[in-house]
Amino acid sequence: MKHIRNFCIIAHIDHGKSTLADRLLEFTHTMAITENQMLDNMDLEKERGITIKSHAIQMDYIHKNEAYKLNLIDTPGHVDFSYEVSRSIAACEGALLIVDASQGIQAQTISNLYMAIENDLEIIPVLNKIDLPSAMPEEVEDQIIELLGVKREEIIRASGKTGEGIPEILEAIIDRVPAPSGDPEAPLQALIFDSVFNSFRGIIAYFKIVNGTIHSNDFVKFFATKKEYYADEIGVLKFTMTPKQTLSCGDVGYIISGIKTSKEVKVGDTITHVKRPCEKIIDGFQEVKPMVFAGVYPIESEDFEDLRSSLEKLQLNDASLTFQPESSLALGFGFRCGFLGLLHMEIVQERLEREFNMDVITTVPNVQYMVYTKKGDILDVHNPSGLPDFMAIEKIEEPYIRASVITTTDYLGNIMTLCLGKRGELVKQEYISGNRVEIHFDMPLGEIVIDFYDRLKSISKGYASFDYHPNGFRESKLIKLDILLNGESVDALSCLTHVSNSESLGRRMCEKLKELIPRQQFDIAIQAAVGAKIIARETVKAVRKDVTAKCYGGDISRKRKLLEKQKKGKKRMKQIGNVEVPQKAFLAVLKLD
Amino acid sequence: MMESGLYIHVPFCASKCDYCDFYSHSDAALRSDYIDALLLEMQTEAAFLSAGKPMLRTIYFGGGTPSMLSEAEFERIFEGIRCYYDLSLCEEITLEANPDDLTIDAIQALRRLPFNRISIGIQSLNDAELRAIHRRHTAAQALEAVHACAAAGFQNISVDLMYGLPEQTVEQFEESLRQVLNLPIQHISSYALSWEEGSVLYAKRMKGLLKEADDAFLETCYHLLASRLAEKGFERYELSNFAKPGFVSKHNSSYWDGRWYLGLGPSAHSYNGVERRMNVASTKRYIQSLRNGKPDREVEPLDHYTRYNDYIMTRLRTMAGFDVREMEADFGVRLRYYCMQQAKKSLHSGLLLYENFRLRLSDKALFVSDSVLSDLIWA
Ligand SMILES: Nc1nc2c(ncn2[C@@H]2O[C@H](COP(=O)(O)OP(=O)(O)OP(=O)(O)O)[C@@H](O)[C@H]2O)c(=O)[nH]1
Ligand code: SF4
Ligand SMILES: [Mg+2]
Repeated sequence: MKHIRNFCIIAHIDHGKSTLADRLLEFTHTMAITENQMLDNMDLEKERGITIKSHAIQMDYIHKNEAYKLNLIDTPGHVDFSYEVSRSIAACEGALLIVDASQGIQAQTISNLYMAIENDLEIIPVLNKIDLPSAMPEEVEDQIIELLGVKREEIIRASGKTGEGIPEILEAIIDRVPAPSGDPEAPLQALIFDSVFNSFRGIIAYFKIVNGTIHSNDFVKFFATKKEYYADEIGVLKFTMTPKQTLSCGDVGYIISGIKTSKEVKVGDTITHVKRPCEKIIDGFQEVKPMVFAGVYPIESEDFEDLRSSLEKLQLNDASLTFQPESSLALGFGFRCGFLGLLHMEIVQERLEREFNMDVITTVPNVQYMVYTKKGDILDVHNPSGLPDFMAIEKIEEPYIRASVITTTDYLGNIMTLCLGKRGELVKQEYISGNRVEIHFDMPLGEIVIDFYDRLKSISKGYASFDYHPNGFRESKLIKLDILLNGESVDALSCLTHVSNSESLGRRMCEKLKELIPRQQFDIAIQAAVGAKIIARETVKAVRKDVTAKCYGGDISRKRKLLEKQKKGKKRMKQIGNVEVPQKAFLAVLKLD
Repeated sequence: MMESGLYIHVPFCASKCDYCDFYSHSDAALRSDYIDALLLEMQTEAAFLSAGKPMLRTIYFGGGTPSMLSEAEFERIFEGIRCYYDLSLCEEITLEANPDDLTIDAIQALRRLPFNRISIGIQSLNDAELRAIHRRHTAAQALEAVHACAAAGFQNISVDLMYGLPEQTVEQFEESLRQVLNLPIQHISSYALSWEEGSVLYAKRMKGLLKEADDAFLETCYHLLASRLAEKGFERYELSNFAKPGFVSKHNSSYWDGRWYLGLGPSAHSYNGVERRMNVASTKRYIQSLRNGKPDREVEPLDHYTRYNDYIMTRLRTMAGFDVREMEADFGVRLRYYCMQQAKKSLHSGLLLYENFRLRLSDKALFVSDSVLSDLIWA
């Protein structure tokens, strides 16, 4: 155990965690790095250049003639996936806190750091991307010193590009991160910190042993689910999964035990032996709860069952995704899905399309409301159309978040205006160093869901980072905004909004829909209404000319291709009444300018 | 399908019109090499239509500006055609001509050649409009050319007329139309100006120098056109083509009727029921590749669904539409069912009509037909 080190790499998004991991893996000869961010092995991760899931891997390293096992976990930086960080932290004794030398401390740097500190991790600050001409090593070191109270010498300067600082980092891991503690003779107590689905082997659970020892073929029990299995295979995560006969306290490994569905494995659960069980479960972490909800509907109604099975398969790998059937007058049968945030929602939609070939419509996302009825019931409402009649409602509460924005004083004014406009309340404002400020707001989550990120990015020219965590529910004056197409209300386009926003939201929705709905063979009236009152209106004028007049010299192919393209476009539209509505129109509200 | 069409693309133009995205250029130095290549191609490709000497029903010289060729050059080409094709049943031989080429001498020469139909690119009878699209001729030249052709004995004359030209008013179009209708012609093709990427016009629009006519304007012009031509006894047999009885363009109709055609020359298109193909759009490469014995062309094999799409698209362009039972005979009951399912919406709204097993576009659908057609397309 003395020769094991468990550590994770945490940072703000894009500060270079995965690239630094490449260099560590290369230096320790764990694997040949044939492409950038080797650990990001999902197609989507590769394409977007971001980490979505945590990745664990073991490295062998000889230091001062002694052989060490270093278990590394690379984590995602995006706020939607912060639960991945929290799980990883639970399996480690130390963390590399990476800070981009050209960007300095950002919002997720701070939130991830606090998570690590709360879990008693030894923090090793690393100043990364030191090779960049725009690096400001002294200045950013000052920020780190101020934040962590460390000495300048404790900060390691490194570059994931040139490999500078890698030996120093490995040395610091061995010297500064404590070896795991625990009793190998005690009853087995292993924490499940992640699980993945493999189509050949079923569910594979990743765990860290806190106490005791596990052997291949042991009869084990999962505490929370109370299920019992034989450990068909246990092992460690090297470049590939490497089976072992025995794993002991402090080890990070995997278990395959014929589990078929992701529901049987709860991340945060404890594994123990059926005979000689441990007394209590390890303090895990909170179950992840979805933050935003949206309807996901097949474009072709007969694809409903296919969509269900696709979602089930996705869930195997992504336990944070929730879904339940619902129906819409406009869209037919579909599912109300819960997501961690907008990026997560986008990713699920993209994976459905790419991995499962499903054409889906995603509706306007909303948050979860608590509705108190006059009869005294409390309802969880995930969908505006699930709202009881307004006459029957006593009050509605909506979820709030505590948001933190880090920026420079140049943009402070604009950001304040934006946040206050989003019903934010300033909680406090702190100077980090120099002209960098951190502002804390309490604001409704629902306001973040709708066009917040893009506007924050544009008004701060990218010089603002944002982080949040849930912060209770508060009563609000919410009303339901309906959208009508040619006089017919389209439930899939309704949303709940604060009274003060309704007029401008309605107007902007109509304008956006006018832009997104193509002209058709008749005029289309787009209206926004609150109750019976129309508050905004736009018209999409009928097409007067839609014909390729010329078919010159027998060039039939060109025109056919045009028509085929038009048809493909139509197949991605939903017919509502007699109006063809494109997929993206249902998310119009997210793209308001 | 026994008799086919032959299309010959002549890629030369004296200068480029601003709206043009046809394959044409002014490099006349290549002319004799081009004709050599053409003769070679007509020999080797006859087999595309049939074994032996294919029977031709129509021949069409398009461009570019075919009227630029000399009498001697045409003679070489016709000699070749007679050598490799059977013209005994040939009914129509068309030349596309630009008014500025149609001098009295040139017309006399054309009369000596086997042409029996001439299609004149008038486009407009307003000099300002003609200048705005950089045509080489004037309104006066255009009128003269048509009269001269008629006087020389051409009895099947077609003119092209455009609407939606830059700065054009409805009154101006109406005036061009009025004058055209006083001409001794039997056929009119009339198209809305299209702003093709790659044309000078398109570039000018991107720079904000010109504005594209709006849909309402084009629709007005089209309806004006349709009603005036009907009054004068022209029948609309296809979206943009109008003819006096007996003067429907046989060659162009073969595109809609599913007849076979062989296209010779750079960028020419061919079809023989099995595949469509398009020659390389470069005169130099066209000549080179024929010399090397490896003709440079794109070939598009036609699968069942592609042939169905072609069928829908071409047959519905004509006023007669098609008989769904014939369609079923070619494509099977499944596609007939698909087609009728997809047609429902437009049948309801009256854009498509279904009578006596025939499916066709209604008059009011003509100008918005793409979206009606694409409903029926398989994709
Ligand atoms: N110049 C330079 N660029 C770097 C360095 N490290 C990473 N990058 C670049 O920074 C970008 C982000 O790198 P990643 O390693 O994907 O960052 P990450 O922190 O893993 O990102 P997330 O997982 O999405 O939070 C990539 O374009 C890298 O090539 C470095 O040391 N120097
Ligand atoms: S004459 Fe015809 S082919 Fe030649 S440039 Fe003008 S439009 Fe193009
Ligand atoms: Mg990463």
